[in-house]
Amino acid sequence: MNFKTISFWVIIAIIAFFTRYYKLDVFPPELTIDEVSIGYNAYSILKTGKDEWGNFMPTSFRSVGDYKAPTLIYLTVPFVKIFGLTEMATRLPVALFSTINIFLFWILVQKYIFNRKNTVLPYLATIIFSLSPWLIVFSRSGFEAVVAMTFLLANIIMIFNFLAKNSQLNFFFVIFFAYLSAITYHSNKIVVPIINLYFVVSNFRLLVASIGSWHKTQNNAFRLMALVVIAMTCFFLKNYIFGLGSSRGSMTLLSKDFDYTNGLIPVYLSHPLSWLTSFFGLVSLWYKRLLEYFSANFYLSSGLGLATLGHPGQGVLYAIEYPFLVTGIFLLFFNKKIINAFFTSSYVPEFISIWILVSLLPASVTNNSQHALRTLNALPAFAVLISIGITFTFNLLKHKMLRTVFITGILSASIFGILRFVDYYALHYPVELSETRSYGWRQMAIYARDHHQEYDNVYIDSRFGSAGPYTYGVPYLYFLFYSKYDPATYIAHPQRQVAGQFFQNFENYHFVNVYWPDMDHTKNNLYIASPWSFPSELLNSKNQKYYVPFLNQSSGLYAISER
Amino acid sequence: MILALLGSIVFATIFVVREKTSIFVVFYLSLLPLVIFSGQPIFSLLLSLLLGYLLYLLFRSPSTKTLLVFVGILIVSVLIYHPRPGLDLGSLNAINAQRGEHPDFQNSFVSRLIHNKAELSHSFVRNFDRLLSPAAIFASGYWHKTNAYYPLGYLFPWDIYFIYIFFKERKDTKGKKTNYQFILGLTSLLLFCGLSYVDDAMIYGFSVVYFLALLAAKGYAVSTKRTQKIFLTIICLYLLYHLQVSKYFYL
Repeated sequence: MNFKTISFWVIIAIIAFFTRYYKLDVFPPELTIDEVSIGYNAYSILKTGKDEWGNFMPTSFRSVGDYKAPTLIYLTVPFVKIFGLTEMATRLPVALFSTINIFLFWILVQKYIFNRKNTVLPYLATIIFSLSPWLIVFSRSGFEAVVAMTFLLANIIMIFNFLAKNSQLNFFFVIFFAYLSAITYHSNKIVVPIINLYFVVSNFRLLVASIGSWHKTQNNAFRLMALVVIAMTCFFLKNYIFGLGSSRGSMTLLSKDFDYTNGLIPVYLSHPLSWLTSFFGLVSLWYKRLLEYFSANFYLSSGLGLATLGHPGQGVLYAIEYPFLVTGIFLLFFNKKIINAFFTSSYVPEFISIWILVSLLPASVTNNSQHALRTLNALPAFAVLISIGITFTFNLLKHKMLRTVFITGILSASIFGILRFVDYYALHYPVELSETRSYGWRQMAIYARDHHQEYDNVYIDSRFGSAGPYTYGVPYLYFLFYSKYDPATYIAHPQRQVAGQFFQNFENYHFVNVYWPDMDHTKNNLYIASPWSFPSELLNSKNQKYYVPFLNQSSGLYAISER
Repeated sequence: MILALLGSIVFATIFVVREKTSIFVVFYLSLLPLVIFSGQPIFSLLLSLLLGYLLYLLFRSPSTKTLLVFVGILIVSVLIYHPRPGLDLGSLNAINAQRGEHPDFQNSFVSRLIHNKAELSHSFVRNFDRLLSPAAIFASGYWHKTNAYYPLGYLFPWDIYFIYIFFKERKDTKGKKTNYQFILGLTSLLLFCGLSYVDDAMIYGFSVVYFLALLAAKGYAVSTKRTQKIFLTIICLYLLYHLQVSKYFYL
């Protein structure tokens, strides 16, 4: 290793530490509903071998109304074992996989993507990738997409490795990582098959020749591989395409989108040919959703949603990267001659084009517009194109002074961009979106854990929010998580075993809609709910035992007792 | 709509004669959703088409004379329509609110560095996206007096393919000088589009859209006669469908 390489890895280590691990349990404040669910289920698996519903080593984890992908939960188990059921233990696996992503990305670009003549490009692309706000935001919370990206990168590395070495083991790992990625996050069930299908179609002759050759020369190893691949395929199809693991996909389909169900369908239904108009409306909406990923606001202003709607926010890129991404995309699609000079072969730009288009596909066929998490797989390809855009522009400048001004400008704008992102992520995001991030449930769960024995019952309203009883949460998971409640006891509750029931209560905790006139006021109860659940005279009186305001002070959660 | 159609036919015919392209292009350009559904007053629509056409001329054969005509018409349009600034008080309030979220915001260097008037650029992006994002152009634009959900772009959905074909088929531009006249023309239209209220910005936004339509028309013109005929049939069906269905979405 020379000095340049060592310096590069020191910089990457510093970036990785500060962006992925530093104050991981503090920023963002509070675990999300998904994170507490992942943490408690990992704890439950560790203690009992079963999930919170009593299913032994499930292939999909039952959640509220759908099923969670299993990989991240199983990966969290050793961390919970080492660090206990804590916020850090819940978030650490994703941060760790995000760091692995940087290394895998480096291997991919350095070895297989960029031409050896472009010595600076792999370094530049890796720094852009590691500093990406798109990845950082999701790396500091329990998002399966980051882990799925690790397996996708491994899958792509294996594809290129196979094309270079033509080895049977590589081919096996192509398939292995493809399945692992598809199991880990729902979007990847679309992205991974299409990318791999492209690989198969574009290298069909090579594959057929290779399979024929393995069959002849390494018959036993080939048979074993074929058997394992068939078993993996059956397992995947049974559990994640036709089984419970597919429920999330069907829940989030584009046909469930608000714009479609509330904006278009009611009007289409009044048309005599409503079946036709509804169908064309859905296709048009899909096209719109797809094209929305090419809108500037996604990249510059609101893609990450770190601020209230209508406020200036943070896009998925730093502003300075955007013009270079546009340059890179333009070169990719319209100037073969220039773009090919950056890559190891003419196959790479084709592969990158497919990668980008396919990565945007899953988000376009599901509800909600401009979903940064569902399109996260596009990031590595974008990082490659941004670095090409920068290098191409730099090469256009012949004057030494212009080049110096260019580099200084990029560095200054990048530093400003990072500062702005940190400001939004650490300060405005927690304040402006505290309500949607379930702020307050942790404090209430800890308060209740310390005081619940002083009361006959603790009633908790799952509805919350400043606007009224319109947002439903799953607070029971926060109370289980912060009480470290024994999973074996929780699972063993007879009503927890009844199929089709969603029973959440434990000890003296009751998760109900708190409607004040209907509650049993003869007992010594504690009520945890929003202000609209209580008579106004109880708020800010001696009956108010605890109060957690949302960070934007719009409303909050109250713990109130009548005694 | 008939006047808009006639005006559009005039521009399309001039384009076909100058570019020596297929006669089908006249139909293609005259039947753009932008022309049929815009609902704009005829004068402002024709002004948009004229600016768009001049922008195309600047793109194809840049000259100072064309640029001067373009700038002259742009000035006339500003004098007639007085576009109102689209970066309004609401945006400034949002910036101030975010500055206020900082502890010790009055003395904080970071809050002043980040939350200042430069953040109005986000409003610019928002305004710009309403008229000129790919989603607005090809899938679901902002139409006057129509339900906001109605999925109809300013151009045909497949025009994105023809624009791609146009750039693909374009002869090698290596060695050509940078086209400053075109850059100046385009930048001025984009600035007016992003800085004005959406109602006023439509004149400038539609100019850029019409410029893209002309590129798509060039892409369409290089395809085979059979493809041109097939797409012309699809266009007719597409327009008939939307003329029928859009009635249900009028506000």
